[in-house]
Amino acid sequence: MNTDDSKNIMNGDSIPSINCKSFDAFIVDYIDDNLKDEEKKIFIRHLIECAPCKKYLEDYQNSIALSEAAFSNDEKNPKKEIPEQLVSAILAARQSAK
Amino acid sequence: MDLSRNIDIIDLPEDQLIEKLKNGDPASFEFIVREYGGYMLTIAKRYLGSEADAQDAVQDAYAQAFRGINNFQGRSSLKSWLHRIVVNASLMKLRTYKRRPIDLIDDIPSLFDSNGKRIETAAEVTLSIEEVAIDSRQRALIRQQIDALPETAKNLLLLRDIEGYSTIEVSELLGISVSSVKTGLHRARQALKKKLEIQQR
Repeated sequence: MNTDDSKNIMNGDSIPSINCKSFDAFIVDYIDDNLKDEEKKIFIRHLIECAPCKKYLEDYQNSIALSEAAFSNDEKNPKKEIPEQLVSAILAARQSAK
Repeated sequence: MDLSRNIDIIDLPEDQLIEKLKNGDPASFEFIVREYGGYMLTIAKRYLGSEADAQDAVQDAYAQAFRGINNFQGRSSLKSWLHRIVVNASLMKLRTYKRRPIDLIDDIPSLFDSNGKRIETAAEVTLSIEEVAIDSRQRALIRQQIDALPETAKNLLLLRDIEGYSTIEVSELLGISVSSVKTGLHRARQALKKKLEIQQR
């Protein structure tokens, strides 16, 4: 047991504290809601205590949302046509494969 | 093409369309080529960039779909089944065309000091999602930044964040471990975030 752990226990503080680098390793699973309850508590504790990490996570999530938005019109747009020559090629390939 | 027959197919519930496909009905095959072909091209182009390569991938994808239709269990929609097939065909093409070694993002400066404490920067992502949604130039800029990422990073972002595949599905599609998907995705997101920060200076 390292000194940090024993300090936490002596303080009656049940949630271990982690540094920013360890916090960072949890981000992907946090966003996927894949953290175990205990891990989530540790993650949130750091999030509350560390303003730079809170800011980092906000920007990180914003950046994901921006990349989603950059592709959002692919689904909404009027349907893209498939070139006639490609339709013919696909159907011809099927004929010859039979 | 016999239009009256195609209108019938449009009205068919999907399970009946799939039945017809399994029975080898040519009009149903033509229908799914015309109905989903444009969408499949859009997806293939994300991965391959060029229209010609995307068309090749779509042709490969339909060949696989025709061969595999009898194994289609109907657990997903026809569209998502085809989506996965064209993603796979595109990734296969990338493998045969480029043969680049797995590229790592190594130009991200360390985010932490020697004690593992985050190094604060003044950089910020200030692009607004509302503006991006209505401004096609901003969307194009973000897409260029994603395109400019190393290939694996770009594919991880497309598969996980844009197309919504799960970590396990992505690990199957790319043939890499679940933990490689997670660490690679994290680095790819960090790299994109950094590019978007630089972008608005």
